[in-house]
Amino acid sequence: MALADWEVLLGGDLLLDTTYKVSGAKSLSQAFNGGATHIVHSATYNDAPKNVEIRTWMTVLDPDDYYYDYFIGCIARKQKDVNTYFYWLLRLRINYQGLVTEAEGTAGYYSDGTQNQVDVTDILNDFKAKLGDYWNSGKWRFVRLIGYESEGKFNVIIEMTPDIDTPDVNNPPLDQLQSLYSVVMDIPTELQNGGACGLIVGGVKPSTSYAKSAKPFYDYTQIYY
Amino acid sequence: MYPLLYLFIKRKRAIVKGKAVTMFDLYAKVVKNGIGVYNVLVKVSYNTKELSKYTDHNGLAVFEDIPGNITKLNILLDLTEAWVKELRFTEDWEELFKAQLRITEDWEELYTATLRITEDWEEVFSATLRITEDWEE
Repeated sequence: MALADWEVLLGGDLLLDTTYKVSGAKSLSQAFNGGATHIVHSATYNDAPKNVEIRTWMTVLDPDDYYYDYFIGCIARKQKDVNTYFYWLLRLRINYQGLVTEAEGTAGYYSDGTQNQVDVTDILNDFKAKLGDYWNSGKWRFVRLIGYESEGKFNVIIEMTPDIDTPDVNNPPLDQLQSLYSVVMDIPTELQNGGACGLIVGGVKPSTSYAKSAKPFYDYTQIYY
Repeated sequence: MYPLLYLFIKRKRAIVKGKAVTMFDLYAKVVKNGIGVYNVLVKVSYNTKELSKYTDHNGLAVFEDIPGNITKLNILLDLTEAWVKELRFTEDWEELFKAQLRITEDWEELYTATLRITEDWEEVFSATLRITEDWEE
Protein backbone atom coordinates (compact mmCIF):
# COMPACT_ATOMS: atom_id res chain seq x y z
CA MET A 1 0.00 0.00 0.00
CA ALA A 2 1.00 3.58 -0.42
CA LEU A 3 -0.18 7.08 0.27
CA ALA A 4 -1.95 7.09 -3.08
CA ASP A 5 -4.37 4.63 -1.48
CA TRP A 6 -5.26 7.14 1.23
CA GLU A 7 -7.56 10.12 0.79
CA VAL A 8 -6.77 13.12 3.00
CA LEU A 9 -10.04 14.66 4.18
CA LEU A 10 -8.61 17.23 6.57
CA GLY A 11 -5.13 18.41 7.54
CA GLY A 12 -1.98 16.97 5.99
CA ASP A 13 1.80 17.39 6.27
CA LEU A 14 2.22 13.63 6.62
CA LEU A 15 5.71 12.27 6.19
CA LEU A 16 7.80 9.17 6.63
CA ASP A 17 10.28 9.04 9.45
CA THR A 18 13.00 6.61 10.41
CA THR A 19 13.36 7.76 14.03
CA TYR A 20 11.07 5.11 15.50
CA LYS A 21 9.46 2.09 13.87
CA VAL A 22 8.02 -1.27 14.91
CA SER A 23 8.23 -2.81 11.45
CA GLY A 24 10.33 -2.16 8.37
CA ALA A 25 12.45 0.98 8.05
CA LYS A 26 9.93 3.80 8.40
CA SER A 27 6.82 4.86 10.22
CA LEU A 28 4.11 7.42 9.47
CA SER A 29 4.65 10.82 11.09
CA GLN A 30 3.73 14.45 10.57
CA ALA A 31 5.55 17.76 10.30
CA PHE A 32 5.53 19.88 13.47
CA ASN A 33 2.21 21.54 14.24
CA GLY A 34 0.45 19.84 11.32
CA GLY A 35 -2.87 19.49 13.18
CA ALA A 36 -5.31 16.60 13.17
CA THR A 37 -5.18 14.81 9.83
CA HIS A 38 -8.17 12.77 8.73
CA ILE A 39 -7.40 9.99 6.21
CA VAL A 40 -9.45 7.13 4.78
CA HIS A 41 -8.28 4.16 2.76
CA SER A 42 -9.72 4.57 -0.74
CA ALA A 43 -10.18 0.83 -1.34
CA THR A 44 -12.60 0.64 1.57
CA TYR A 45 -15.16 2.64 -0.43
CA ASN A 46 -15.72 -0.47 -2.52
CA ASP A 47 -16.61 -2.69 0.42
CA ALA A 48 -18.31 0.17 2.30
CA PRO A 49 -18.27 -1.55 5.70
CA LYS A 50 -20.68 -0.45 8.40
CA ASN A 51 -18.42 -1.63 11.21
CA VAL A 52 -14.67 -1.29 11.53
CA GLU A 53 -11.77 -2.15 13.77
CA ILE A 54 -8.40 -0.51 13.20
CA ARG A 55 -5.27 -1.53 15.05
CA THR A 56 -2.08 0.48 15.02
CA TRP A 57 1.12 1.03 16.96
CA MET A 58 1.81 4.55 18.19
CA THR A 59 4.65 6.39 19.87
CA VAL A 60 5.67 10.00 20.38
CA LEU A 61 8.66 12.28 20.31
CA ASP A 62 8.04 14.40 23.38
CA PRO A 63 8.18 18.19 22.86
CA ASP A 64 11.47 20.00 23.48
CA ASP A 65 9.71 22.53 25.70
CA TYR A 66 6.29 23.16 27.26
CA TYR A 67 3.76 20.68 25.81
CA TYR A 68 2.23 19.34 22.60
CA ASP A 69 -1.10 17.74 21.69
CA TYR A 70 -1.08 14.32 19.97
CA PHE A 71 -4.03 12.68 18.19
CA ILE A 72 -5.13 9.15 17.47
CA GLY A 73 -8.60 8.40 16.19
CA CYS A 74 -10.81 6.58 13.73
CA ILE A 75 -13.16 7.35 10.84
CA ALA A 76 -16.05 5.19 9.66
CA ARG A 77 -18.81 5.27 7.01
CA LYS A 78 -17.16 8.05 4.97
CA GLN A 79 -19.47 8.67 2.02
CA LYS A 80 -17.96 9.07 -1.44
CA ASP A 81 -17.41 12.64 -2.71
CA VAL A 82 -18.85 14.27 0.40
CA ASN A 83 -17.38 14.90 3.85
CA THR A 84 -19.94 12.88 5.75
CA TYR A 85 -18.55 10.38 8.28
CA PHE A 86 -18.32 9.29 11.92
CA TYR A 87 -15.17 10.15 13.87
CA TRP A 88 -13.84 9.45 17.33
CA LEU A 89 -10.43 10.32 18.74
CA LEU A 90 -8.14 10.86 21.68
CA ARG A 91 -6.23 14.08 22.27
CA LEU A 92 -3.28 13.65 24.60
CA ARG A 93 -1.31 16.62 25.90
CA ILE A 94 2.22 15.61 26.86
CA ASN A 95 4.89 17.89 28.31
CA TYR A 96 8.65 18.00 27.73
CA GLN A 97 9.19 15.47 30.54
CA GLY A 98 6.75 13.00 29.00
CA LEU A 99 4.09 13.72 31.61
CA VAL A 100 0.53 13.39 30.31
CA THR A 101 -1.24 16.54 31.50
CA GLU A 102 -4.49 16.27 29.54
CA ALA A 103 -6.41 13.38 27.98
CA GLU A 104 -9.69 13.90 26.22
CA GLY A 105 -11.99 11.71 24.15
CA THR A 106 -14.15 13.22 21.42
CA ALA A 107 -16.78 11.65 19.16
CA GLY A 108 -19.26 12.84 16.58
CA TYR A 109 -19.83 13.03 12.87
CA TYR A 110 -19.40 15.33 9.90
CA SER A 111 -22.43 15.97 7.74
CA ASP A 112 -21.45 17.44 4.36
CA GLY A 113 -18.45 19.08 6.01
CA THR A 114 -20.30 20.42 9.04
CA GLN A 115 -19.01 19.04 12.32
CA ASN A 116 -21.52 17.68 14.85
CA GLN A 117 -19.72 16.94 18.08
CA VAL A 118 -21.72 14.43 20.08
CA ASP A 119 -19.43 13.93 23.06
CA VAL A 120 -16.32 15.35 24.74
CA THR A 121 -15.07 13.64 27.90
CA ASP A 122 -12.08 14.36 30.12
CA ILE A 123 -10.48 10.94 30.64
CA LEU A 124 -7.21 12.06 32.25
CA ASN A 125 -7.67 10.36 35.63
CA ASP A 126 -8.76 7.06 34.10
CA PHE A 127 -5.98 7.26 31.50
CA LYS A 128 -3.30 7.73 34.16
CA ALA A 129 -4.76 5.08 36.45
CA LYS A 130 -4.65 2.50 33.65
CA LEU A 131 -1.56 3.50 31.70
CA GLY A 132 0.58 5.54 34.09
CA ASP A 133 1.53 9.20 34.25
CA TYR A 134 4.17 9.30 31.52
CA TRP A 135 4.56 8.58 27.82
CA ASN A 136 8.24 8.96 27.05
CA SER A 137 9.78 9.35 23.60
CA GLY A 138 10.05 6.15 21.59
CA LYS A 139 7.86 4.01 23.88
CA TRP A 140 5.46 2.15 21.62
CA ARG A 141 1.85 1.49 22.55
CA PHE A 142 -0.68 -0.67 20.77
CA VAL A 143 -4.02 1.01 19.98
CA ARG A 144 -7.34 -0.52 18.96
CA LEU A 145 -10.18 1.61 17.59
CA ILE A 146 -13.61 0.04 17.15
CA GLY A 147 -16.83 1.38 15.62
CA TYR A 148 -19.88 -0.83 15.16
CA GLU A 149 -23.64 -0.72 14.89
CA SER A 150 -25.75 -2.52 17.42
CA GLU A 151 -29.47 -2.22 18.12
CA GLY A 152 -29.75 0.84 15.89
CA LYS A 153 -26.92 2.81 17.54
CA PHE A 154 -23.31 3.44 16.53
CA ASN A 155 -20.86 2.39 19.25
CA VAL A 156 -17.27 3.62 19.32
CA ILE A 157 -14.40 2.44 21.51
CA ILE A 158 -10.75 3.43 21.94
CA GLU A 159 -8.32 1.09 23.69
CA MET A 160 -4.59 1.41 24.36
CA THR A 161 -1.91 -0.65 26.06
CA PRO A 162 0.76 0.63 28.45
CA ASP A 163 4.31 0.94 27.07
CA ILE A 164 5.35 -2.20 25.18
CA ASP A 165 9.11 -2.63 25.55
CA THR A 166 9.55 -5.20 22.78
CA PRO A 167 6.79 -4.65 20.21
CA ASP A 168 6.05 -7.64 17.99
CA VAL A 169 3.61 -6.94 15.17
CA ASN A 170 2.96 -10.66 14.78
CA ASN A 171 1.89 -10.98 18.39
CA PRO A 172 -0.13 -7.85 19.18
CA PRO A 173 -0.67 -7.47 22.95
CA LEU A 174 -4.45 -7.65 22.78
CA ASP A 175 -4.62 -8.88 26.36
CA GLN A 176 -2.99 -5.67 27.61
CA LEU A 177 -5.47 -3.30 25.97
CA GLN A 178 -7.25 -0.94 28.33
CA SER A 179 -10.56 0.65 27.40
CA LEU A 180 -10.16 4.43 27.60
CA TYR A 181 -13.17 5.90 25.84
CA SER A 182 -16.53 4.69 24.57
CA VAL A 183 -19.63 6.45 23.29
CA VAL A 184 -22.99 5.31 21.88
CA MET A 185 -24.33 7.63 19.17
CA ASP A 186 -27.59 7.91 17.29
CA ILE A 187 -27.17 7.25 13.58
CA PRO A 188 -28.23 10.19 11.39
CA THR A 189 -30.02 9.43 8.13
CA GLU A 190 -27.01 10.33 6.01
CA LEU A 191 -24.87 7.76 7.84
CA GLN A 192 -27.21 4.77 7.69
CA ASN A 193 -25.08 3.17 4.98
CA GLY A 194 -21.54 1.88 5.20
CA GLY A 195 -18.58 3.76 3.77
CA ALA A 196 -14.82 4.15 3.75
CA CYS A 197 -12.83 3.97 6.96
CA GLY A 198 -9.52 5.31 8.18
CA LEU A 199 -7.52 7.12 10.83
CA ILE A 200 -7.06 10.46 12.54
CA VAL A 201 -3.39 11.13 13.16
CA GLY A 202 -1.09 14.08 13.86
CA GLY A 203 -0.41 16.68 16.48
CA VAL A 204 -0.69 20.38 17.19
CA LYS A 205 1.15 23.00 19.24
CA PRO A 206 -1.28 24.68 21.65
CA SER A 207 -1.17 28.46 21.43
CA THR A 208 0.05 28.64 25.05
CA SER A 209 3.02 26.36 24.35
CA TYR A 210 6.47 27.39 23.17
CA ALA A 211 7.42 23.93 21.91
CA LYS A 212 9.49 23.93 18.73
CA SER A 213 9.68 20.22 18.02
CA ALA A 214 7.47 17.20 18.67
CA LYS A 215 6.15 14.35 16.54
CA PRO A 216 3.72 11.48 16.69
CA PHE A 217 4.53 8.15 14.99
CA TYR A 218 2.24 5.39 13.76
CA ASP A 219 3.26 2.05 12.32
CA TYR A 220 1.89 -1.32 11.23
CA THR A 221 -1.75 -0.29 10.90
CA GLN A 222 -4.30 -3.02 10.25
CA ILE A 223 -7.89 -2.56 9.13
CA TYR A 224 -10.51 -5.17 9.99
CA TYR A 225 -14.12 -5.19 8.91
CA MET B 1 -15.24 -19.96 5.27
CA TYR B 2 -18.38 -20.03 7.37
CA PRO B 3 -18.37 -19.08 11.05
CA LEU B 4 -17.90 -22.01 13.41
CA LEU B 5 -19.89 -22.55 16.59
CA TYR B 6 -18.14 -24.03 19.61
CA LEU B 7 -20.16 -25.09 22.64
CA PHE B 8 -18.75 -25.66 26.10
CA ILE B 9 -20.64 -26.83 29.16
CA LYS B 10 -19.57 -26.11 32.71
CA ARG B 11 -21.31 -28.40 35.18
CA LYS B 12 -22.07 -27.15 38.67
CA ARG B 13 -24.02 -28.11 41.77
CA ALA B 14 -26.42 -25.64 43.34
CA ILE B 15 -28.62 -25.68 46.45
CA VAL B 16 -32.21 -24.83 45.56
CA LYS B 17 -34.69 -24.74 48.45
CA GLY B 18 -32.37 -26.86 50.55
CA LYS B 19 -31.93 -29.49 47.87
CA ALA B 20 -28.78 -30.08 45.83
CA VAL B 21 -29.40 -29.96 42.09
CA THR B 22 -27.16 -30.24 39.06
CA MET B 23 -27.06 -27.26 36.70
CA PHE B 24 -24.73 -26.09 34.00
CA ASP B 25 -23.53 -22.95 32.25
CA LEU B 26 -23.48 -23.01 28.48
CA TYR B 27 -20.69 -21.14 26.66
CA ALA B 28 -21.41 -20.52 22.97
CA LYS B 29 -18.46 -19.17 20.98
CA VAL B 30 -18.71 -18.18 17.31
CA VAL B 31 -15.41 -17.95 15.43
CA LYS B 32 -14.43 -17.14 11.84
CA ASN B 33 -10.83 -17.37 10.67
CA GLY B 34 -9.68 -17.46 14.27
CA ILE B 35 -11.48 -14.22 15.19
CA GLY B 36 -14.53 -14.11 17.43
CA VAL B 37 -17.66 -12.97 15.61
CA TYR B 38 -19.41 -10.10 17.34
CA ASN B 39 -23.17 -9.56 17.56
CA VAL B 40 -24.38 -13.03 16.62
CA LEU B 41 -27.79 -13.65 18.18
CA VAL B 42 -27.65 -17.02 19.94
CA LYS B 43 -31.06 -18.52 20.73
CA VAL B 44 -31.27 -21.34 23.26
CA SER B 45 -34.42 -23.22 24.09
CA TYR B 46 -35.28 -26.17 26.33
CA ASN B 47 -38.60 -27.44 27.68
CA THR B 48 -40.77 -24.30 27.39
CA LYS B 49 -37.95 -21.88 28.11
CA GLU B 50 -36.47 -19.62 25.39
CA LEU B 51 -33.33 -17.55 25.92
CA SER B 52 -31.39 -15.30 23.57
CA LYS B 53 -28.17 -13.33 23.82
CA TYR B 54 -25.74 -11.52 21.49
CA THR B 55 -22.09 -12.59 21.34
CA ASP B 56 -19.51 -10.14 22.69
CA HIS B 57 -16.36 -8.91 20.91
CA ASN B 58 -14.70 -12.27 21.53
CA GLY B 59 -17.63 -14.07 19.90
CA LEU B 60 -18.84 -15.40 23.25
CA ALA B 61 -22.33 -15.66 24.74
CA VAL B 62 -22.85 -17.31 28.14
CA PHE B 63 -26.11 -18.82 29.38
CA GLU B 64 -26.02 -19.56 33.10
CA ASP B 65 -27.97 -21.91 35.33
CA ILE B 66 -29.50 -24.22 32.77
CA PRO B 67 -31.12 -27.14 34.62
CA GLY B 68 -29.33 -30.48 34.34
CA ASN B 69 -32.45 -32.61 33.97
CA ILE B 70 -33.55 -31.46 30.52
CA THR B 71 -33.70 -33.98 27.69
CA LYS B 72 -33.11 -31.67 24.75
CA LEU B 73 -31.33 -28.37 24.18
CA ASN B 74 -31.92 -26.41 20.95
CA ILE B 75 -29.45 -23.82 19.76
CA LEU B 76 -29.94 -21.50 16.80
CA LEU B 77 -27.65 -18.80 15.46
CA ASP B 78 -28.98 -15.63 13.83
CA LEU B 79 -26.22 -13.99 11.77
CA THR B 80 -28.32 -11.07 10.48
CA GLU B 81 -26.56 -8.46 12.62
CA ALA B 82 -23.28 -10.35 13.02
CA TRP B 83 -20.04 -8.54 12.42
CA VAL B 84 -17.90 -10.99 10.51
CA LYS B 85 -14.55 -9.31 10.95
CA GLU B 86 -11.52 -10.05 8.80
CA LEU B 87 -8.17 -8.41 8.29
CA ARG B 88 -8.43 -6.48 5.00
CA PHE B 89 -5.38 -4.20 4.88
CA THR B 90 -2.02 -3.92 6.60
CA GLU B 91 -0.13 -0.67 6.20
CA ASP B 92 3.59 -0.71 6.91
CA TRP B 93 3.95 2.82 5.43
CA GLU B 94 7.20 1.92 3.63
CA GLU B 95 6.07 3.10 0.19
CA LEU B 96 4.59 6.39 1.25
CA PHE B 97 6.93 8.72 -0.65
CA LYS B 98 6.90 6.77 -3.91
CA ALA B 99 3.21 7.40 -4.07
CA GLN B 100 3.36 11.07 -3.17
CA LEU B 101 4.44 12.16 -6.65
CA ARG B 102 1.11 13.14 -8.16
CA ILE B 103 1.92 16.00 -10.57
CA THR B 104 5.00 16.72 -12.65
CA GLU B 105 5.14 20.30 -13.86
CA ASP B 106 7.20 21.38 -16.84
CA TRP B 107 7.71 25.02 -15.95
CA GLU B 108 9.22 25.87 -19.38
CA GLU B 109 5.96 25.21 -21.01
CA LEU B 110 4.02 27.03 -18.31
CA TYR B 111 5.77 30.35 -18.86
CA THR B 112 5.21 30.17 -22.58
CA ALA B 113 1.59 29.43 -22.00
CA THR B 114 1.04 32.36 -19.60
CA LEU B 115 2.12 34.96 -22.19
CA ARG B 116 -1.29 36.39 -22.98
CA ILE B 117 -0.89 40.11 -23.96
CA THR B 118 1.74 41.91 -25.95
CA GLU B 119 1.50 45.68 -25.54
CA ASP B 120 2.97 48.26 -27.89
CA TRP B 121 3.54 51.04 -25.35
CA GLU B 122 4.41 53.64 -28.03
CA GLU B 123 0.96 53.42 -29.37
CA VAL B 124 -0.73 53.46 -25.98
CA PHE B 125 0.98 56.66 -24.85
CA SER B 126 0.14 58.39 -28.09
CA ALA B 127 -3.46 57.43 -27.71
CA THR B 128 -3.90 58.54 -24.06
CA LEU B 129 -2.53 62.07 -24.67
CA ARG B 130 -5.77 63.98 -24.77
CA ILE B 131 -5.21 67.39 -23.14
CA THR B 132 -2.14 69.54 -22.96
CA GLU B 133 -2.43 72.39 -20.51
CA ASP B 134 -0.13 75.40 -20.67
CA TRP B 135 -0.60 76.89 -17.17
CA GLU B 136 1.27 80.09 -18.08
CA GLU B 137 -1.56 81.14 -20.25
